[in-house]
Amino acid sequence: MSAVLQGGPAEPLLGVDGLVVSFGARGHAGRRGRRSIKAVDHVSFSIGRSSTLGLVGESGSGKSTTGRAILQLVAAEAGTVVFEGVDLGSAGAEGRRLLRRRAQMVFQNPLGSLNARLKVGRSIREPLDIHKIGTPAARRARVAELVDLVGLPDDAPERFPHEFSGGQQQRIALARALAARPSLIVCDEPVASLDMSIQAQILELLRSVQRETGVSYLFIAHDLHVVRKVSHETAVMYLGRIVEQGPSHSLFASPRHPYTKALLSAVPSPDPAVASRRVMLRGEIPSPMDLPSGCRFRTRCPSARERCALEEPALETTDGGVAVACHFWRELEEQ
Amino acid sequence: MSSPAAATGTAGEAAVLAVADLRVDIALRHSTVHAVDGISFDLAPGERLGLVGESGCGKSTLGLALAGLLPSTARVSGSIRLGGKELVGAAERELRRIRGRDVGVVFQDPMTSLNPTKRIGVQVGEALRLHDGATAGEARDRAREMLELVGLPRPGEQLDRYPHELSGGMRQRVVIACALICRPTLLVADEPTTALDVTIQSQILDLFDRLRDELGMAILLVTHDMGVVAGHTDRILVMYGGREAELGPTRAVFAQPRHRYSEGLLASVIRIGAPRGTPLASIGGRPPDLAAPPAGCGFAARCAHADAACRDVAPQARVDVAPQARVDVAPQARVDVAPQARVDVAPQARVDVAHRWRCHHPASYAGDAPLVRDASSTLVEP
Repeated sequence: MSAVLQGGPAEPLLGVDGLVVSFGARGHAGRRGRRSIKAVDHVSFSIGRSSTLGLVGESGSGKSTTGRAILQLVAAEAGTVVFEGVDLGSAGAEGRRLLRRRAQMVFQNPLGSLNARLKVGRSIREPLDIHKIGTPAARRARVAELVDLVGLPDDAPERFPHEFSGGQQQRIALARALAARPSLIVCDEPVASLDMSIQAQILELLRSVQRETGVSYLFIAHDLHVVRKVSHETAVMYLGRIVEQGPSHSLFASPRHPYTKALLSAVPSPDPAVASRRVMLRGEIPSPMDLPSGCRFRTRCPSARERCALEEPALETTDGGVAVACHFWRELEEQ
Repeated sequence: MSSPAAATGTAGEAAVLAVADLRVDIALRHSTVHAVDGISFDLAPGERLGLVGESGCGKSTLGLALAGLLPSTARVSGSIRLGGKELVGAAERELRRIRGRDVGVVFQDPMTSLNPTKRIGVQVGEALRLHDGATAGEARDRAREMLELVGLPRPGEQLDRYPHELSGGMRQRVVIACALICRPTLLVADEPTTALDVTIQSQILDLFDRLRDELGMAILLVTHDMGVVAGHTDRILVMYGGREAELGPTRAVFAQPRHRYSEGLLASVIRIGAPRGTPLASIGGRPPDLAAPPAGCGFAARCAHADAACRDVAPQARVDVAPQARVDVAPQARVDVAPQARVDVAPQARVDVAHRWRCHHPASYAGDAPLVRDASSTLVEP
């Protein structure tokens, strides 16, 4: 059976369907008598070419695990991931090779993801060496090209990671991720540890790199400002489930799920004159080992009712292409 | 030089904290880092001051200096008066009495602030036992009250738990309880919500406001996030390269930033309302090397408005005084009246509404702000 299906132009770059990732609370997942938690519970989305999906949520929402499962850094329990037309679940080693070359990751802490003992040029070149792309001269030229693309100084390849600021280290990490010309980069909180003024630089860089190379991003972040800035589509996760997803412009213009509303209003407004009309969330995200019945958000939801405890809401498509998992989104809208 | 009255500047005699011309130099092997370079400000009881700037601007060093927590390699000069007591040059024994009692501290990472091997009740009550000689029973009772005050659910049960059993947000509440149990007059909070989720961040910031209302302590909130200071401070001090760039009421600084660095910081705040595709303003370049601070304005190398004067001459402080401002100006101080504009400063006016800044080419400026004569106060040029 050939797992390679040639996708037409309309086919998304990445299609995730019903993804489930479980962790064993003690010992291994799925063993009889052990409790396991579903960190990602039936998550589905797709990312088109040269576009960005933002995945937002609090700590423990499963957003990072989703990214790792797509790159097969953690094992998925169920669901399919189709990347560049290949069903990675059934393609085996061939699929993994494709994935390692065509999909890359950028992490929150750039210094932690760069080898401190390797000169920057060597780090950036490493993916080319591993995948045996081009001649040595071509690889050197590619490094110079990447250094220019991400806006690093020309002498950067000859220096060590610690000589650079946090923002520049993140540029190095991005150059390295781009080296093998991937079609997808999973960015896991790429700007969370940077200063505001530097965050803006890196987000601008991600956008310009996308315009020039056509790469797609799965952009994972807890900060809605940041996600809105770079994402064509946005998915909001809560306790392993997507509660709202759709085109960013409609989702942010009129958030429908009470959790999305609360997240948006929790972001401190940079305007001291704005009276804070905030939807405060009670308490914290519950333990995934002890999930609430029905809707997982109901224990913190300001609009929860009896039905929410009995029945789990399914994602329901609304106008503007946004899907929302809430029993009462229509009523809440009218209020 | 500056008389005590002049040094207290904004808040007059009642100031909880008066910092005057504070300098902190940290000796390294081959160089000396001037982390704090001539900072002056006052805090009134219950006042919330936001200390803003990028990584490496000296804001955390300043916070540590106020808490008496600088490393022994640091050389401090100038004055920090906390409730009338001078901290600069104070003996370690004296500092130990002040730390934890007159000033409470909350750091970014609640896990490293707490002792993982001690039960929460013991940790929260510890300062009370050390400073007030409370018995174990009294300390435990007060710890329970304090945990309730900071909004920890079921405080009685939490007393016997360990830090690892709590979530990040709950741990930060415990740290706040530790910091406030002796009812300090000043709380120094250094990036207290940076490690927390936004929903928890807003809960903690609201908690600070409520505790300020209930306990009346002044708060110094150190952060890089302009969004955090916007809603939760009365005044802002913008630091750049160890120096004061701008100091003023939060609303005034947001409405009319004068220093080009403050202007850049505000522009780089990502506003939720702005649509995707709007270019983000960012400040290019890096902060100056504090081991070799520039002679002129520290921001000149990154500033689009800089000229030769900016690179050579450090800008003097000027003040904008709100029209209705009442400024307590010492008798000898007079307003320098520029020929093109008169500034009406009533003789009895208080300067705590003054907006002070140092920039040769300030933003949206009509050229009418008087020069400040004495950097450690807001007295204007005679």
